[in-house]
Amino acid sequence: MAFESIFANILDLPGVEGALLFGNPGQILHNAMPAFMPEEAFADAQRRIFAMYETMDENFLPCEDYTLNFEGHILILRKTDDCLLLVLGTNKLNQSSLRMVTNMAIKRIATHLAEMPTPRLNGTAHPPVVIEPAKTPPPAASEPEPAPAQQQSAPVAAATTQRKARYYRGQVYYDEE
Amino acid sequence: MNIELPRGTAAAGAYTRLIQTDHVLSFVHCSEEGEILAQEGDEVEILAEALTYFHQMAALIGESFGLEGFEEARIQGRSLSIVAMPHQGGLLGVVVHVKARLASVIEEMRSIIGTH
Repeated sequence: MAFESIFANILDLPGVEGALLFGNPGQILHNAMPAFMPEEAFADAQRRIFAMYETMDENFLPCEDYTLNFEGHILILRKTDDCLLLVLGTNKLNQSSLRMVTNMAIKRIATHLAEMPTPRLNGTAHPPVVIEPAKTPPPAASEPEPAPAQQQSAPVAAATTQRKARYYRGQVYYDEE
Repeated sequence: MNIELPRGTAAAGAYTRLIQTDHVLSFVHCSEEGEILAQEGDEVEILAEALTYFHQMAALIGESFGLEGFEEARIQGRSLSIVAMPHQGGLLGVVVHVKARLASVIEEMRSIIGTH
C-alpha cells in the first residue's frame, strides 16, 4: 500500500511513463513500469545498473544519481543505502520537478523499508523477484507454494503466482496466462 | 593544456572554451576502446577507463528497456558531477563541480561535437 501511494506521486508527473524500485540484486520491491515491459527484462537491467554503479564508485567517485538520455526518453536512477529507484520518462519530463518528487519518495521509501521485517542490500539471500502485493504485508523469506490466481489478497510473491501483478500509473493489472 | 589536437583548429578552440567554463575541472575524450584522444585535468586516465565501461553499460541498460540512441548522461556525486556524450564512436566526459551551470557545459560539449 505504501509503495503504491509513493509511486502514484511519481507517476502523476507529466512525462513519467513508469518507475521501478530495486532492492537486493535479484529483488524488485515495486514494479510500476508499463505493462508491455516484461518483468524478466528487469533482472538484466538491474545487474547492469548495479555493475555500472560499482564501476564508477570503485574506479572514479561514488555517485548516487544517474540520468541517461536516449532518443525521446530518459532513465533516471537514484540509489540509496537500501534501494535503487528507477524512473522512465519522456524527454519532455521536467527534471527539477521529478527530482523534488523523488526526493520525497526516497524519504518515504526509506521509512517504509525500515518498517519491513526483512533486511535489504546487506548480502542476505532473498527470493529472486518479489513484488509487493496490493494492500498486503511483504512476503516472508520462505515462500509458500504458488497461490491460486483467485487468492489475490494473500501475501505471496508475484514471481511464484500464476498471474503477475503489474502496476502502471497507479493501477494494478494482472498478466494473462 | 594537454589537448592532443592540432593547435588552432576549431576543435582545439572548442576544447579550450570547455575547460575555461566555470567550475569545469577536467575532461576527456576517449575512443570506444578507451584510448584517450583529448584530455585536460587531473586523473583523466582513470576517468577514461571508467567512462569507457560506463558507455557500454549505459547502452545495455537502455536496451533492457527498449531504448535506443544513447545521447547523454549526467552522473551526480556529492561534490562532483560528470556529463558525458557519445562522440565519434567514443565518449566525451566532463567533470564539473556541483556548482557548475550544466546548460553552459552541455552547450560547449555540443559545440565540440559539432566541430567534427
